[in-house]
Amino acid sequence: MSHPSRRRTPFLLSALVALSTTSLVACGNDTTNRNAANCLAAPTSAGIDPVAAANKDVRGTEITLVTHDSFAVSKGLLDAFTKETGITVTVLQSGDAGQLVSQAVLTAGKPVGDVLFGIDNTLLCRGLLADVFTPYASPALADVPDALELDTHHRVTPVDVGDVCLNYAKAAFVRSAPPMSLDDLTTPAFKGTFVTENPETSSPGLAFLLATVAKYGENGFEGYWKKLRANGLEVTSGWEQAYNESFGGGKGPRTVVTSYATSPAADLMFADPPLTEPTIGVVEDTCFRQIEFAGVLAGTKHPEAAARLIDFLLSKTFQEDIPANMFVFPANDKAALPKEFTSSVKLVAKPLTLDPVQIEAKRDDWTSRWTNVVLR
Amino acid sequence: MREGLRVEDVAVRYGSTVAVDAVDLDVAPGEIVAVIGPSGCGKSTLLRAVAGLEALAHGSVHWGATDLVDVDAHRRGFGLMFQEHALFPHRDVGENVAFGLRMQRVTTTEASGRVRDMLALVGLPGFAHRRVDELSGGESQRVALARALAPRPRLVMLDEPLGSLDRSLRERLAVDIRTVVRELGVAALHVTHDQDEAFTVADRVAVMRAGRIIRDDIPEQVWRDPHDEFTARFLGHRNVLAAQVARALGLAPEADDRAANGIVLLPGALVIDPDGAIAATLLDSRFASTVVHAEVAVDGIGGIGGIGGIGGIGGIDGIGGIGGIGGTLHLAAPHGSAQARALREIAVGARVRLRANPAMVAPVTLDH
Amino acid sequence: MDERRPALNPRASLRGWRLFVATALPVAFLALFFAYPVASVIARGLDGRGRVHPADVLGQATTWHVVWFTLWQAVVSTLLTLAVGLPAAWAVARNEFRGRSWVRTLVVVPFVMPTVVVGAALRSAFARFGLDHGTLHLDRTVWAILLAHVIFNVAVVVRIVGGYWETLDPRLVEAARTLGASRRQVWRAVTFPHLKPALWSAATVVFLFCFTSFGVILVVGGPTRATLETEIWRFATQRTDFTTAAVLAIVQLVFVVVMVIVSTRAERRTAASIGIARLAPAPRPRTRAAKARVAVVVALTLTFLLLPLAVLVERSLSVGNGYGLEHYRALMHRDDQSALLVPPIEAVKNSLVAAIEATTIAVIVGTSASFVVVGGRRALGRVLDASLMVPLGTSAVTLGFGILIALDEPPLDLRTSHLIVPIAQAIVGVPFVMRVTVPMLRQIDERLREVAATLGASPSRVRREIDLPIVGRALAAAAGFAFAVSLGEFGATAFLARPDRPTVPVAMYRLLGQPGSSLRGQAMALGVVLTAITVVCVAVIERAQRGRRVGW
Repeated sequence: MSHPSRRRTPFLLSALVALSTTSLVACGNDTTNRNAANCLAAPTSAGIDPVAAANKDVRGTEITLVTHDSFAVSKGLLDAFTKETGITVTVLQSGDAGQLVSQAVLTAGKPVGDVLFGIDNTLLCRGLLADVFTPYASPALADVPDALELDTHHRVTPVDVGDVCLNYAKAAFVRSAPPMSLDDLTTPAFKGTFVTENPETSSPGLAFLLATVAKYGENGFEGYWKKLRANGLEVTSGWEQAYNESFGGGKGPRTVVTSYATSPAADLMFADPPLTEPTIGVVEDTCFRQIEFAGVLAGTKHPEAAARLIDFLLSKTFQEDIPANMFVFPANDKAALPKEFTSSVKLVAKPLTLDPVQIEAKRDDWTSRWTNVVLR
Repeated sequence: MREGLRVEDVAVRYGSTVAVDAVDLDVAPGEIVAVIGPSGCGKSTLLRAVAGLEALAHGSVHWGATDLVDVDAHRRGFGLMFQEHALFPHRDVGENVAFGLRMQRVTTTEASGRVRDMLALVGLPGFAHRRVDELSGGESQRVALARALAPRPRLVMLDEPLGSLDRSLRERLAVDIRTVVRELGVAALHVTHDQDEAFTVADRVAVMRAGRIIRDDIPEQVWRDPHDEFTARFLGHRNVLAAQVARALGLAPEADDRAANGIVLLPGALVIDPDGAIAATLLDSRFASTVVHAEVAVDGIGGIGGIGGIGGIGGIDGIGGIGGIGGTLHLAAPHGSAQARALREIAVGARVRLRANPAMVAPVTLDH
Repeated sequence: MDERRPALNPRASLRGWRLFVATALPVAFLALFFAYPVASVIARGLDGRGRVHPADVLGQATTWHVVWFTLWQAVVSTLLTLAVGLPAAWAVARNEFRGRSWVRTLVVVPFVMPTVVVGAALRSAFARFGLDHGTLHLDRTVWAILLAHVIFNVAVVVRIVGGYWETLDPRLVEAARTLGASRRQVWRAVTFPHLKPALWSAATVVFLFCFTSFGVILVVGGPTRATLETEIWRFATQRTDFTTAAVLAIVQLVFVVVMVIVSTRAERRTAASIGIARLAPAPRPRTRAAKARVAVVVALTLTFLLLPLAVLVERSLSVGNGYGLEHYRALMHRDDQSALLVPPIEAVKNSLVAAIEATTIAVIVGTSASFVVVGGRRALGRVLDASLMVPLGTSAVTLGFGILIALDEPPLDLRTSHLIVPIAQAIVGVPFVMRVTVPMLRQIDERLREVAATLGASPSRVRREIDLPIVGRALAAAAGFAFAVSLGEFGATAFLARPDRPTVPVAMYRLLGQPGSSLRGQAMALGVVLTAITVVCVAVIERAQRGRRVGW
């Protein structure tokens, strides 16, 4: 009785193997093993001609914007784009930024949509090396500071800027001084106060790790983390547990957390009960700069319409909508900020930064070393 | 060709096991045929083969001139009733009975009339809206019978329909089944291991042994003249004797064309008679519902207090006499008869004399 | 009986085009939406273009640490879940009491609650009872993981085992009791053997859920714990290292396939040969002691399971320094701007539509597969039975990414179709339907089908008139379950590119993903709404079935 099924046990596996071999043929070019150093080198593809894109009749085109789960715009905003250009936009969302980029790499050449929004400088080279994007130099870049254009070949276009910084609960530091620097967190005054996210599983967590690498250098950051650990560091898997649970939105047991420079603004906008002053403070010397980009996905059937969407993402309409919805700053200099932003937050003058090429080359090594120091 | 069921040379196999072999059987419309045999003899399988629930390895099943081999069970127009009634647990009594009618697309009004009639026929008027788990065993069987008969099958098959019921209920229901089936004039194939039930219900009895039908005759004939030891014993005849033992008792089998090498003593063949020629010792006498049973050790065919006979019960008592080894014989006498009184009066261990009635002796072929 | 009848009743089982259709449907479903995508993404990971060599992944000690942890936590979680779930299953299956069907419905509540919420609830419970520090420290420990797994999965045991328990003829237990058997002896001699197939079924599902646990590990277990599932996710999405992810996915598949083969075989072997000839109604507990037992078991179970819900409700009502309905009100008026692309009511609608579609697909595919497993050719049935369980134990990333790269060509460019979400959810729903229906179908007395056939019912009519109604109640329970599963957004959904039809869990995560105490309150309120919807829908699905037929 048992013999037939014993004989058939490998059936599933052999079916899988058979299927795998057939699907091998279907795969396109992979560039994940290309040298990270080449990431910002000139692409082979010519890209989209801005003049042609501007002149082509794109009315009635339907395009898809692929983005992460944090993407948010005001109601009707995309309708404005449709009204202006005749292009209908469908938004596809999938997971966090890491997942978004991984999916783009996986589907490079056969993209799920036409435009991707949400790849930041920590992931930039991963996308560029996989030839995910088609170059397009938007005329709207005129209003964007050159410093944000990390890819000079315009495969990606900067859309917004934000800082990942240490936040602290102001109420907890009425009598004592709040932290002023990364070093402060290693002192006895801040023992058991700090909660951060695992850089292996969280985007702000990674940004903060990069901040420490930028500050203490490739060989020094582990020493810093050792001290943090000795000083009662708490690590969570995601931002939600760190900020909402341990930090308790400013009322939790932990009083210092890795979050965003704009957290005070959000705190102000969504306070309950309403506030006049933010209860959250930002430690300016600890900020790591994140720039979010959009790009036309290589393989799109509607390059001109996609280009027009890039233009729109840089337009004042879209740029002024960004802060209150996604809590980052517009890349467009001309875009006006909402009052919660002007009053309570700002982009720090001297953020910590790292070269995207270096991030791509060393990221996995750094996170692994971090894991060894902090979690083992 | 006349109507009715015709089973010809049918065999059913499960892998290498032959469950039914070379079976021929006819059932005419209005006729009730009982198939009897011990459990495992293949009688239920035969029934399932007729119903179309088992594939035939060989042979054919016809209704009149129609070959049924390629006709699915649900198109044969045969009703089936199981031992454990197998009522649909998710439907009430009326819905159970109406099931076959619904399959025939009979109109609702007609069906409900038929359900009423059938329930009345089986003695359960007004039971239509009862839940099946509220029914007693007998009621369940009646509902199952009504369900099998409601769609007016050409043939109704009853597979041990009364097997799980108590004796009095079984006897009553057996009569009821006969009445109901008779009334509807339907052909019936009744499978049972209980010879009394078969005799009560059937017009003809087919005896099955190891997948084959070894006897097919009217009940009285089968009972009076079982032909072989297997049938005799299955019918409850306990005194089966080898020819030489019979001769020792003065009951030599008559020479006949069946080359019988033994005899069976039918009930009443042995009586207590002070003038009887057979000397024996009473080993035991027991009171039962309709008769008094007794075991005696007969001189000359086994030592007194013979080998395993004392206190023997049920099937193992009968006989040890085959092949000349000593043993016991069984006597039964109806209550109120002089025989019964005599048996009760004699003390266990006392000597008795017996007389054999040659008219109640039939020749049989012994098993080996 | 099975041994003697290899071709058990060929007339009543599936034949011809019906067998073909009933087989082709689940096979095509599985091949297209599971095997092909998973094979594609694994092949993509192993095509030699990655940064690491596949063999190196297997050579690393950390890989095997992860495998070991994944395995043992799943086994222990499963055993604990059975231990907690069995008394509850007994209480609802073997005792008639007021509110019984509500208890049955309420146990699925934790099932649909987002892990973040259950995790948060656990942590606040730990804090409340002083278990977040000191010697009895539970927070961020493996115990917390096990506890969360039990809370999430008790519903599986109550549903699958409880449904089966109802079919145990109480006379068997009574008979054993009158023969002088103690309660424990009755359990060992009568109840346990009868329940074995269902126990295997439930254990398999729970094991696969725990084996592929993701949110619980990250949120409750904290950053130091990793299972194959979280590692596959980490490598595939955070590191874009498809090679390591593929190797880990294969390791996961191998374990799951072995587990599934072992358990489906065990389930088959232990299947009862006694049939359902009667479905006995559960008795009302008579003695005071019996009543107390039921009451205690029900109360404990509900307290245990609904604790996270209580925390959720408390947080949704907490406004400023007091309590109020502001968060719910805010939800109603949330159509102006901000974090959600659509108003919450739209998210509710999206959730319901997707869940209904997923449930429909799961019931159709699962039921036809069940008929093939029980009534088709044996070998075919066995392979199908085991194969359809495998998706439950396959990493959601593997499947989600697989769908992205495999179904990218017309006519199957389903990557961006809104149908892909219900399909992905149905892949998880199908095993639920099957684990409930297969043991029930096996248990139906074959003679019921035969009688129906001789009464003129064709094989398909037999299925419609006999099998489906008898399995119906269990099937409704399975459908309710599948519905809850898809409302709770299990499976590969999270790893697909989803059209802008945010469902309730997505909306919740979005609200939770930004600073601001009122947003958090609204997320909690939305969670309460989701729970309420789930309870109502599951109750409606199950009661619809019950109302349809007399008897039970």
